[in-house]
Amino acid sequence: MENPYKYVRICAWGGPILLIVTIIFWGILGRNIPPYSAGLSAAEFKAQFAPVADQIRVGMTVTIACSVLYFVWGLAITKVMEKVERHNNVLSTLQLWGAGFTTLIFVIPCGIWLTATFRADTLEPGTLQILFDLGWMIFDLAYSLTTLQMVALGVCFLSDRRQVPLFPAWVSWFSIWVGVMFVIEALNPFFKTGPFSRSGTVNYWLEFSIFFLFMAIISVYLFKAIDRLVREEAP
Amino acid sequence: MHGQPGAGNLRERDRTLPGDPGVFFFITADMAMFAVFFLLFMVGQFQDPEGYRASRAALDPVLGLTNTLILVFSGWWMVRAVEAGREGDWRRARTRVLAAMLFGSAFALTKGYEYYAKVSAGITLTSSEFFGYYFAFTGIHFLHFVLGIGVLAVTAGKLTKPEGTKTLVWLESTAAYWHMVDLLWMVLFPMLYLAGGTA
Amino acid sequence: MSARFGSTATLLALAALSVGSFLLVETEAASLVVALAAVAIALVKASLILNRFMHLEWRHRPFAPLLLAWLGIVGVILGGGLCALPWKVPTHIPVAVNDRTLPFEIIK
Repeated sequence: MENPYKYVRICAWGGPILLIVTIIFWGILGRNIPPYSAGLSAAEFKAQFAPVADQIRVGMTVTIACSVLYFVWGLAITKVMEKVERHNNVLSTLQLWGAGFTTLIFVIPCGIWLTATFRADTLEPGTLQILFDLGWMIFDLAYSLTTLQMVALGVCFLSDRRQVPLFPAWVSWFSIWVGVMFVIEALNPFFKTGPFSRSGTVNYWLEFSIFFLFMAIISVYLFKAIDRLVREEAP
Repeated sequence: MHGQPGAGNLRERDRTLPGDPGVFFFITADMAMFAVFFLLFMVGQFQDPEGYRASRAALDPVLGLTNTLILVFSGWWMVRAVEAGREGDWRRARTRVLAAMLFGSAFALTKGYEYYAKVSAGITLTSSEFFGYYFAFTGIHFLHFVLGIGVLAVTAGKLTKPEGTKTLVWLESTAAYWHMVDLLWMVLFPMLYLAGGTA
Repeated sequence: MSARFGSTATLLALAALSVGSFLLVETEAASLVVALAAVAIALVKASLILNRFMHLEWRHRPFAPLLLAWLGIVGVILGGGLCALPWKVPTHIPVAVNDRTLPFEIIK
């Protein structure tokens, strides 16, 4: 018997799994809750970073390997979006590419942070700090790649003509809102301390909370939508 | 014309329609974010009242007031557009949306001039904590304003080919968003330019 | 006609409140009063959005209490923040307080 949703549900698990991996390996082991402040001097940074470099190395090694799950998750979303699209597949394609590029926003910075841990003992404090900064600049400032995914997703599900849409309107709007709010990351390069710095109230705590919330909420409704589509299309 | 027949039908529609509070979800989330901003600012001001006063002295409240009046006036046109829409007068609604857009656009001129004057006087995001907040908050607000102008343009386009209730819901949602933009400014203006005093 | 009168009257009320608070600050009458007046502008605007402009109180029921709650919270944040500030009563008559003309002075 043909099942058009074969593998889709497995792909959808990519999101929740990556979310947990990110919190444990990138966040807790990687010492990113919150990250080292940009306001630290190079010497202070090295004094804090070097002793835990091994731990961070483990965290980044696992996170970099699991990053691909973001793309896998994005494919599951695209498969559901295709059921909503009427005219063409522009939005589902944009969403997939957005998710794919977001994967790189995990991979590249994690690789840079990994490099920082590699010779943390012998590197000059300034060099060590610049590597850490470089990772964060890409991680935070490439927000538009994820915004692309979020806005495409939201706009697509808002155009759903079903009596009860696959994704509730508020979820679509939440997605768009998070995408728009990511623009605040653009303030990051201008502040070393305060709420708009990379470890600040807004640019770290608020932005990352809503991003993780986005992954969680979209995952919940993604599973619901897949269940519904499977039921609707059952022979 | 207050008890126009449309009002009764709208009530009916609200009961039958499962509701489209999505736009309001966006607006509420946005306003919550700004409430956090206000809190950050007030805490910062509490910790360094003199510094904030010194910085505030370099702001020109005339420009802030001008922008408040521009947005209030633009919001008023939007209200009247919704009134016309509820009466089914789509042509008039469209004219009023365009008026809201036209008058609202003046905000960009004033704000652009203000940013230009600040930057050419050497005042930027990094000049002081106050100005960090000033540029960040007004910048994010400006982004909302630009989005709003875009949405107003789309609404004006939709009003050329009205589709009854659907268009009215769109018009009302646009109006609600536009009111949010000026409501946020109405808190930003006194908070940044006036309250707390100047040095 | 009453709806139209309402929105026009509101426009005038909001404009008057804006100009009024501005004038109070410019004449250094009382910054705290001004701050509260400014919060009142937002309150008036919001209550009018709710009751007259958008008929939100019955159209989008979940939104009206949310907006009121937001206004309450913002009122507490601004009011509390301002009341907590150390306010200095000016002991001298302010002379030439309006020297913040364009172009702007550079912050030291």
